[in-house]
Amino acid sequence: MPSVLTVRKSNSRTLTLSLLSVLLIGLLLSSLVVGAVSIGLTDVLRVAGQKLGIVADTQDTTQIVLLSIRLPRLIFTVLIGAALGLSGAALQGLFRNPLVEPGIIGISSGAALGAIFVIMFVSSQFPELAERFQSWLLPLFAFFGGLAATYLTLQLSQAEGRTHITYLILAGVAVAALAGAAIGLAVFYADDNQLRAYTFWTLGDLSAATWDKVSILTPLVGLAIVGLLAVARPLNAIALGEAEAFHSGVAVERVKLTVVLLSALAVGVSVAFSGIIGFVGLVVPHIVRIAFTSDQRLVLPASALGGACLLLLADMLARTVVAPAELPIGVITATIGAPFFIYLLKSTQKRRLI
Amino acid sequence: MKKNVIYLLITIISLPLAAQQRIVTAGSSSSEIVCALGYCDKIVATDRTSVYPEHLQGLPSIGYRNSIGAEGIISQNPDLVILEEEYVKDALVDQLLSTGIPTEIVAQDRSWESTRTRIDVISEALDEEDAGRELITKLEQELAEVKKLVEESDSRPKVLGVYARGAGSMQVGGSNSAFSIIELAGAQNAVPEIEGFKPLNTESLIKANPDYILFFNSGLASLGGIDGALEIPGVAQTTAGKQRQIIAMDGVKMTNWGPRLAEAALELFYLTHPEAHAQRTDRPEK
Amino acid sequence: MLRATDISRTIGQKTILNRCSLTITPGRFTAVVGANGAGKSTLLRIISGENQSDNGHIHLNGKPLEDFPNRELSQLRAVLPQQTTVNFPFTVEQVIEIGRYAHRTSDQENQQIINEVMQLTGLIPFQGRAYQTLSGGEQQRVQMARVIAQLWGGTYRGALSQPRYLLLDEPTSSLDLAQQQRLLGLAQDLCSRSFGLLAILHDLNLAVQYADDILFLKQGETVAYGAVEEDVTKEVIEETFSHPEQRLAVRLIRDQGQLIIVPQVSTRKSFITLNENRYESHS
Repeated sequence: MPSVLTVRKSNSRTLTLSLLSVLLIGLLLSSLVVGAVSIGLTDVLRVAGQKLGIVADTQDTTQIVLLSIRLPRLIFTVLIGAALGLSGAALQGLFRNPLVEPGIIGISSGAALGAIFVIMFVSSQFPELAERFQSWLLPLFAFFGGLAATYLTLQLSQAEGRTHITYLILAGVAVAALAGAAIGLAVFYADDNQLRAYTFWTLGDLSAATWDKVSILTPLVGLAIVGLLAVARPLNAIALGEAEAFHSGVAVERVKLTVVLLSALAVGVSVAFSGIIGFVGLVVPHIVRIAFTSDQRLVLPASALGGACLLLLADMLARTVVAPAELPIGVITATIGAPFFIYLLKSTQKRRLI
Repeated sequence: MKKNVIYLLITIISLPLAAQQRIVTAGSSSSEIVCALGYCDKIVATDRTSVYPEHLQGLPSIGYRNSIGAEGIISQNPDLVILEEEYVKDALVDQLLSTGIPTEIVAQDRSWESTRTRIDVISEALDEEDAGRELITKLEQELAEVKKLVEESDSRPKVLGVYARGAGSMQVGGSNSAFSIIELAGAQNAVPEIEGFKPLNTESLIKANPDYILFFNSGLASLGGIDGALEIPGVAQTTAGKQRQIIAMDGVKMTNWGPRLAEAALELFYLTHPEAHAQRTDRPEK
Repeated sequence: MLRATDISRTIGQKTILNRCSLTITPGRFTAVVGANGAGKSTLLRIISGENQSDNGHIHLNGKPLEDFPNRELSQLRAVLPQQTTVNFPFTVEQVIEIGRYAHRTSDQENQQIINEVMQLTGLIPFQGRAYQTLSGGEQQRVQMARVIAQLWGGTYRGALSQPRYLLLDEPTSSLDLAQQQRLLGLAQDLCSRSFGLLAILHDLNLAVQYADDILFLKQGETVAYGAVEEDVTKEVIEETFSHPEQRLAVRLIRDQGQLIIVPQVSTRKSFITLNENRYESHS
C-alpha cells in the first residue's frame, strides 16, 4: 500500500492517465483495421498519406470505408463511451453510491423519450423544421428529456433536504418505467417504420455515425468533460455527505447542479444519437476505483478514458462476431458488463467495501 | 482517336459480361425478383428475411432490418446492391451511395404498382428489361385469374390478420398493414378502421367477429397450432373460432408483394373460399 | 469569539429553539447538554451556518456569519459530524485530505499537514489503510483528524492569526471509554492552542469533566448557561433532564476536586399497569 509521503500522488495520476490514453489509442488503431471489410495497417497508412497529400489520391472503396464509415463511427464511439463513463462516475460521486448509473436515475429513458418525441411529433407536424435541424433537435430534446427525468427522480427521492439512496433508486425505477410507458405509447401510435426504431433505442446502435453527428457530439461532450473534471475535488468532499462537504467549504448546490446538468447533457446527446447503451457508466468507474483509487481527480478522467476503451472494444466485437451482420451494441455491453458487475459485487462484499 | 473508339466499344460490349457477378439484396421481395429474373446464383449475400428460395439462407447474412450495416455489404464486394427503402436504416443508404457501388433503392410499399416498379427497377439494373416485362406480364395474367375467381365467388368473408410471436405478443393488422393481400384474395379485412398494426384486444376481436383468423405459419406455430389459437380469449366467441376457421400461410410469401404475389393471393382465396376449393381442377400439393 | 445571540427556530407549530445565546471563546471548551429533542443539533447547525435561524444573529471573530464566503468560513470553523458513512474505498489519508479542500496549499504541504495531524490523533499505525475497514471508533478518529486538518495553519487572508472554532456533534457516541477520553483530551489540547470548542455531549460526566462552559437546553429553552463551576447544580440537571413521565433525581459528588453526577435510583411507578382483575401485576 502506498505510504503517506507520496508527493508523487499527482505524478502517479498522470502516469495512470497516460497509460489509459495509450490503451485508448491502441484500441482506436485496432478498430481501424477491424471490420467486415478487410483493411490492413498499410491501407490505413496509405489513406492517411492520401489525405495529407503525400500519396496520390485514388478515392477507392478502402478510403471511403475508412473515412466515411469507420473513422466517424470510431470517434463517435470514443465520445459516447467517454460521456457514459464520465457521467457514471460523476453521478456515483454525487449520490455517494457506487450503484448509480445514468440509466438508474432515469436520464437514459428520459433522453430516449425526448428524442422519440422529436421523431414522432415534431417530424410530422413541422417536417421542414425537422429536416433542417434534425441533427440539433434530437440531442436538444434528449437533453431536456433526460433533465426532466432526473429532476423528477431527485424530487421523489428527497426527504428532509437529503437524498436517500433507496428512494433514489426506487424513484429512478419509477421514472424509467414512466418514460418506458410513454415510449410504448408513442410506438403504439407509430407506423411500422417508427416501430422498428424501438429496438434502436433500447439496444443501442453506433452505426448511424456521420461526421455531422460527430461535429455536434464533440463540443457537447467536450463541454461535459471539462465541466465535470472541474468538480472532482468537490465530489471527493461530497462523498462524506452533503453537510460535511458544505462545512468543508464546498458550494454543494452548485456542484449538484453542475453534475446533473452536464451528465444530462452528455448522456442525453449520446442517447439521442445511439440509443440507450447500458452498463458502461456503472462498470467503468467501479473498475477504476478498484484498480486505482477512489479519488475523483483520477476516477473522473480515468472513467472517461475507460468508457471510451470499453465501448471501442465492445464495438469491435459487435462488428466482427457475426460478420457480415452486426450485433446491437447494448447486447455486447450487457454481456460484458453484467457478469463483471456480479464479480465486482462479490469481491467488494468480501473486502467490506460496500 | 481510333484506338479510343475501339477501347470504348470493347468496354461497352464487355460491360454486360463483366457486370452483375456479385449481387447483395436487402429485402425478401427484391431477392425473389432477382431470382425470378434468373440471377439467383449471382446473389452472394442477403438479409434474414430472404427465405425463398431456401438456399439463400445458406449465404452469408448481412443481418436484419436496422442491424444491416454498410461494411457488411461492402465486404462482400458487390457490384450491385439492392436495398428496400424503410427496411434498412437511412444512414445505410447514404453510406452505400457514398462508396459509389451501384445501388438500387426500391420502395417496400404493398401495391401492385409498387411491385411492378420494383420489377422494372431491378430488371433494368440487371440489364434484363425484357425478362422484367415478361415477369410482369406473367404476374398480371396470374392476378387476372385470381380476380376472375374472386368475381365469380359471391362471398367476401371477413378475415382478421394476426401477427403473433407467442401468446404474449399479438397484433392485428388493419388497413395499410402487411395483411393487405386480404382484399386481393376476395376477402375483406375484419378491422378496416384500424390503421397498421395494433395490439389484439378481446372486445374488438369479438365485435369484429371475423369469419377467418389468418396467421403467419410461424405465428400460429408459436401459439401451439390451431388449438392454441382457439384458446386466445375472445376467439371462441367469433365465427372463426366456432367453426375452427383458423388459417395460416407462409408469412414472407403473403406479405412481401413479390413475384409470388398471385400464388399467395390464390392460396388465400382458396383458404377463405372453401366452396371454390372443392371445384378446383388443380389441387395444390400440401 | 463565536457569538450566537437570540437564536430562535420554529418549524410549523413546534418551537425548536427559543432565544438561545452562547459564546464560544477561544481557549475554552463549551459543552451543550440536554435531553433528546432539546434542540442541540439544531443549534449546532445554525451556529455552523448550515441552517438559518429565524431571528437573532451569529458573529464569528466580530463579523456576521452571513458575510463570510463559504471558503473563508471553512478555514475558521469545522464541524465533526456524529457519524459519517463513506461508500467508496477511500484511504485514511484521502479522507483527511478532504479537510484541506478550502485551502490553496500545495500537495506537498497538504501531505505534511496530514502527517502532523495523523500523529496528533495517533493514526500513524493506520497509514494507507482503507477507511471502511476501520472500526467505528477508529473512523471517528480519522474524521477528527480531518476536521483538525481543515483548521490547521490556514493561509487564506491571514486566517492563521485568527481564532478558529471546532464544533463537535456528539463526538463520543460510538467510542469506548478509553477512546472517549482520548478524543476529549485532544479537544482540550486544541483549546490550549487557541481553538474555540463547542461539543454536544450526551454524557453529563464527560461534559463537566472536560468543559469550561456549559449550556443546558430543554425543549429549545436555555435552562442555564455559564461556567461549569457555577452552573452545574442538582436543580439545573434535574430540571433539564426531567420530563413529565419521568422525574430525574441526581446526586452530585465532589471527589478530589472533580464533580461527579450520579443518577439516583428512586422508587418509581410501575410502568405496567394491568387490569388487576384479570392479570397479575408486577411492582
